[in-house]
Amino acid sequence: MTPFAHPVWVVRAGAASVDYLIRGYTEHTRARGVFGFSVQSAAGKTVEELAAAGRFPNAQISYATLDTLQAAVQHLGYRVRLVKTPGTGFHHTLTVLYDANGIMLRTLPRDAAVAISAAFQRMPNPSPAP
Amino acid sequence: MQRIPVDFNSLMRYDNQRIELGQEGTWQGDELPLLHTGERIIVYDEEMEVAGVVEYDVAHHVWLAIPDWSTRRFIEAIAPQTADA
Repeated sequence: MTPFAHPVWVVRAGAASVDYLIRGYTEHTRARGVFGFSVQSAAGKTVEELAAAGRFPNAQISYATLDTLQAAVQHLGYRVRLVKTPGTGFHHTLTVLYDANGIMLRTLPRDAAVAISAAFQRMPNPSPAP
Repeated sequence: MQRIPVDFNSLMRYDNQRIELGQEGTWQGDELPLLHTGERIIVYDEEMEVAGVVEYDVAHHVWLAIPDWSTRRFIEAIAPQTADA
């Protein structure tokens, strides 16, 4: 089985509620021009491995596959993209783009945030830190 | 102490040492109360809060907080999972 047969998991600390997804959607100060919210993601890594790598302080984590997040926003006219950016573990910035022209959004629209939040599943943090 | 909502995932951008409060010129930065370097504040999200000390990143015009994890308090009844749970 190739690595691509496995889902690409996207993991965040906390409940991934709508307001905090919107709040966390900012420009990365060490990757200028990349707007989005921080996640852990890496092909071939499990949710548990990604949670441990992120050293999340929260009591719970939120997780979804990249395909699930993409499907959640597609009908709204958006698409998501993972960009490798500086940070802990397998840090990526999850950006949202207008599907029609590929322009990266500088703030997260509420409809996209609602769809993304609903697409995440939650579980207790298996590796709470510090 | 002033209370400020944050996305704790921003810790990952700062080697898990600092939490982003807001960058000047963005809506997150514009809604911050008046802050001073060295000021003690409470940062929180929907499930936890922790005290921290305010810092200002001059190069990037970003307000940050250095968390004191000994003060962490979980707001909701979501118990962290222990290693032997």
